[in-house]
Amino acid sequence: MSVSDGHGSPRITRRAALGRGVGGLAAAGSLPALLAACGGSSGSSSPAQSGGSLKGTLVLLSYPGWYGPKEFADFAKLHPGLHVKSEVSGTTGAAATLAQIENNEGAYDLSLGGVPTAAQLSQAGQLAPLDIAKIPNLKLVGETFRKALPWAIPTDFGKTGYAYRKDLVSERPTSWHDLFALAPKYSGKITMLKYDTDIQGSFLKALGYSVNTKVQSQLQAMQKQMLSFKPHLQAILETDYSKGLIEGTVSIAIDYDYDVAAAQAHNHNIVWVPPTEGMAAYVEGWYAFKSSKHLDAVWDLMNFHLEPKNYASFINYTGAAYVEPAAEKYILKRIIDDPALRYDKQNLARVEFEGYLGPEQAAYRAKLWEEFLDA
Amino acid sequence: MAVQLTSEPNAPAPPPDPGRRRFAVRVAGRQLLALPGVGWTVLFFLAPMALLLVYSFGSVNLLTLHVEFGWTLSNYTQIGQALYLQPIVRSLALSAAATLACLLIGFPVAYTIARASGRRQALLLLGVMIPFWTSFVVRTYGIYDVIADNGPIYSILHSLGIVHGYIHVLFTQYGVGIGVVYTYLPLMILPLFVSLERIDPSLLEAAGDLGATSARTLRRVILPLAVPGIIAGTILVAIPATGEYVIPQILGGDTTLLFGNVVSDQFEDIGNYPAGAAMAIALTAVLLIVLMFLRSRSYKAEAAVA
Repeated sequence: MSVSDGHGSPRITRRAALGRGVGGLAAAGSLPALLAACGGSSGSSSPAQSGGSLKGTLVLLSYPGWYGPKEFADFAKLHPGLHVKSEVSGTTGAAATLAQIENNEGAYDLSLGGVPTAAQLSQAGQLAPLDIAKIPNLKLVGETFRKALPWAIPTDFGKTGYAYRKDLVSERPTSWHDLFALAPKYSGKITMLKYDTDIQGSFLKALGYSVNTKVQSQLQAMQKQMLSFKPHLQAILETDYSKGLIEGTVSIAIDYDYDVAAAQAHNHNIVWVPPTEGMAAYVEGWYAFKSSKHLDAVWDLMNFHLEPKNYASFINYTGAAYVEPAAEKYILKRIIDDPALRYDKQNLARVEFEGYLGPEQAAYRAKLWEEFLDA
Repeated sequence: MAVQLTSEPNAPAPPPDPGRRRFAVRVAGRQLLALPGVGWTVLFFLAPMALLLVYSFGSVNLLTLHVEFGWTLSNYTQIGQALYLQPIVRSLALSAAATLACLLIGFPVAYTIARASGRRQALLLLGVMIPFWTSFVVRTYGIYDVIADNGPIYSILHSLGIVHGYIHVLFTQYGVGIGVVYTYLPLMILPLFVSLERIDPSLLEAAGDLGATSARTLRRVILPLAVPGIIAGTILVAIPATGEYVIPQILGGDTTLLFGNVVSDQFEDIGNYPAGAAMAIALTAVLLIVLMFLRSRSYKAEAAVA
């Protein structure tokens, strides 16, 4: 078996941004590669393995460079004749990924994605319900994540908070309201990541509302708050969220947990803030397509991925926040001890996962986002 | 070959003219040579444009993202909203400013190259073209580092004492402008060079002999003869600059929404292909009108030069 990345040169994705999170200071992917080298090898004690009986090619739609070199090679040792091909989802946008799936029906066996994509595909009748009996390792995943993403095996999650440079910011902010209060003082020295649902969700949490609210007045209040914050922004960044923070050209950045954790390795003055009002979070995982002709192999691959040693290897490679506490003994101490990444009940209590709100709400929020960008 | 409209049963057919046949074969051969280019254009330009046009009259199911083809004009009418008009105006303004800047910077460069000779000219031309050897995105990231707050330009100006305070260019409209001008400048210089190189030096000598100053020679002789190059350069710079969305994303920090970004968002983030298609078609139509106007001016200028 061999692993082949898909074709073309993808645009920058949220995941790809992880590799580039340290900006131009480190070569893309070098940190994950280093972590992978330090990480334990992925074992092959999958309880659901079916020996060499599974044949064919499994096509996984995923981010580029998201899996270590051993991820599928070890799985192949269990299943000679079974080929896992990792195709690249070519763009940042969830809609574009959906369109890619829609336009290539039957081309993929499984895909990596978050709640909105999975829910939308499920409602469109494209997903195969998980065969939980064939994925016994799923029970090792935290219940919160299983509930948030019932169509898939959760693989990782991310929170949107903010980070600041303690040598450049004299105050010690702990909440979204602290950030808003500091914005005029640090005007032009603040950046924000460009991902509509995460930013809108963060501002909703800041105002005490649900990330998934459909209440018009609450959304309007959110928009008002965002618009009043915008003049203080230096940039709304598609990638390299923490580059300015590392270099000192930015004092505060609204950012993802994993990106801040990676940035802290380059500058110890960077402080992660999980705002007290709460955080919007995404959870993502692998879901299977109904059209797959290899569903047994898909369940087996999923179970293999969640095997603690294998899962730890994946987390050590990506540096993402993990969803499987059972794998902690194999996960790098640096990740477990990181306040942004560790499986922390206090942190989890502050998190609200983004759900799928339906096409009308999604369109409405997209319009609000465009108005925000246009302002 | 002569066409025989009526035939007499017993009249012998005229012998074929071998010269004409060879000519016809040569013409057909030449036309065949154009086939790959034509096929490429049809397949990868005209067909996608036709597809976009069809999409632009359709509607999308935002749950399944299935496009239902129809004849609705709603995708076009929504372009009139302020939300979309502002980015259009910004894009056109950016394009116009960048084109003007390219012309002002590019003209002296092109003139210098045109007046150089031999190896020096080849080296100068190479200098203009070298940036094209690097990927567009890499070049843009190169500019990113150059204009960064703590980048080399700031460091040099600061160390020379020219700048004392803090200058901020990256993530501003100026940053975007610098990026667009840097990227498209060679596309202005090259056609200008072609036009300027064609100018017969004896015309300039004659102007001088007749007492024209350098400024008057430039205004009355060089500029009129360079009009075809100016128009070609304007087309090459203004059209891609209007739809530009990568440079604003990288150098503008997305604080300013341009029309290219709006179109891109419709396809990538919202999944509303018909709306994105309508916007792309509308922008193409505007650019086509500008292009046709400039081409007609170009033909007139070329005729005048001839």
